[in-house]
Amino acid sequence: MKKTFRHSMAWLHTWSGLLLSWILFAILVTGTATYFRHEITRWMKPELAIPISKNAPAHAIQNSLMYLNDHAPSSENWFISLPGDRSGVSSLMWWNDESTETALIDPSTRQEIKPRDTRGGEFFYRFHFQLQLPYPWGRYLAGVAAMFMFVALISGIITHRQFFKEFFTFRPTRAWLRSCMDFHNVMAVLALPFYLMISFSALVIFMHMYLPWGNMALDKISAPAVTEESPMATPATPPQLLPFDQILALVEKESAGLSLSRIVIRNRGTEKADISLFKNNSKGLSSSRSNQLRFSAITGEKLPLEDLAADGVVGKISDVFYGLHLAHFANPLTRTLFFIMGAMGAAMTGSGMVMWTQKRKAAQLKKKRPSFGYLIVDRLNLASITGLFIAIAVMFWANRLLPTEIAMRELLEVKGFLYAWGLSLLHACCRPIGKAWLEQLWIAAILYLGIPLLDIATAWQWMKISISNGDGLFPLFDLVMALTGASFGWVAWKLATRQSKATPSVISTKTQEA
Amino acid sequence: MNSVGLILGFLTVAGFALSMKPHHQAILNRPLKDREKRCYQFAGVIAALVTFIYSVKTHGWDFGLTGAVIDLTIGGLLLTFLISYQPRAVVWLSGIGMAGLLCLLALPR
Repeated sequence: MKKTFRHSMAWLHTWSGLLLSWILFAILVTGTATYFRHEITRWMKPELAIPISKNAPAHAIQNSLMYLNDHAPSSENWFISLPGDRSGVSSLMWWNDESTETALIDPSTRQEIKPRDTRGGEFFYRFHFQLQLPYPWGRYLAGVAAMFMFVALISGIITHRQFFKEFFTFRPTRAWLRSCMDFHNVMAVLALPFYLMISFSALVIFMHMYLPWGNMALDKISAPAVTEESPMATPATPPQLLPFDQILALVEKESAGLSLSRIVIRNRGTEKADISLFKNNSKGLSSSRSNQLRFSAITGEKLPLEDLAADGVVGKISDVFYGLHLAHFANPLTRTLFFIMGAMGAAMTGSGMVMWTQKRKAAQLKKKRPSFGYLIVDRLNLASITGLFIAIAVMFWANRLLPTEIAMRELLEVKGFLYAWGLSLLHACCRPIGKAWLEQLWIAAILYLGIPLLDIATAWQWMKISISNGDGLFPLFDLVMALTGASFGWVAWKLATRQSKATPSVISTKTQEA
Repeated sequence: MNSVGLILGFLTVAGFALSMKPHHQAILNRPLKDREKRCYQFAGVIAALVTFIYSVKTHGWDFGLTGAVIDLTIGGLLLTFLISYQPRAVVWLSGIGMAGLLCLLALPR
């Protein structure tokens, strides 16, 4: 136990912050990228250069349903994601006996579009809560990291001595460690409500996994009683679905004046066949199911929403937290601001990681040999911070350079990401740490600055179509990549300057090899 | 979420920053008096109330509260880096922001 409560909280903040910081940094970076996952997908699938309109074009619903009627007439479930302000294509999915089939169609012409095989922005979305690990272990690990983040936030608030006095304080001209501490505090304090919301809502989303006993008890209470007198019902003749023309007319009539995001037709061929129309969630924070309309696909009559009455207050609160985390309600400006706050979270975590090693550096350099723990943390910091960005850049490069017809293309892109990340860690372990930081920062700078040139060289035909349709996605994405590369270049230059100014008596060859 | 909310958020944090001695010294290059401190704190509180009220009236209670917190966060981020690198710009931006808001108020609806 430490001398005072504040000392104990400082110890807790240090260790809860550090122990999973490498995973947490990756979660924050990929989670931040997820705010623009649809845009990243469109960039990584340049073949989808179709005009975007604020609402789905009128014929999108008709063409989507007609495509499914032609290609999957006997499938039990149809899922349609309509084009909207973030995508110009209709995304269709249907279930066969053995597998799920998907298709992307031009909503105006019903032509199927076959973009290159890539996970696109979905990779970042899934990575940030599954970590490319098998279900359910990735989700459990991400949940533990979220819990550690929550503990680190609360203990950090208590530990921060001059919370209000240093509220807007960042002193870049002071000693490096002091500036780093100011930066960490500023990043932490200014967006604190966002971090508390994002870490708590992350735990709420998967709370049925982390604390399953409540659901298990509810399932036992609500399971229907089976008695000996209840005969097994023999399946009757499958009820007749409404003719396709009537389903189409029903959907078009009920969706008139509404902005729809999705249409789902489920259990076709059974008495439970229904049609759900999901409205665009433009108002309200909640991801509530009250944003949908349901109809019977057999009689056409309106149906009540499933299980909504059973949700209660707790369910509604959970919906709001879910909605806040996913930010589906956010317009482009709000989403950009969320992106900035996510980046602040990554900067807060990264600066904390670097501070841990820098605070101990002087003491470690005095020893005959730095401790193993210090060496490990130093290298993991480099691989987590710069290595992750290098891995993301390699994935973007692979997206543009891999032949589109190659088998298992999307898996190759993911492997490129993972191998680049692994190589970054290997490089960090094999090189003197000071030089390793510099080299990886320059590599990241070159990779990101090269992406706009690569884009022009490999995707110019689709960029032209996209820009002529008034869509600024390609230039904006390339600009962000260029700014990222410039930032890495600036940091590399500052570090090189700082390293060259350090006196020979402070840095000896032996300690620099550590 | 719109530019008016962001301006109000910036003015709120600027008011609070000016009520703090080191930031007041950095921005206005003169020491802070006690009476001035209370005035800036009062101005900051009023600006914060206006930020929240405007956001709630424009976007409703649920998104309004979220939007107001975002406005203050982004305003604070901009202010912090301005104080560190261009403290005088805080005065200019606050002036431009207030002038912009007054023009918007004066416009016929």
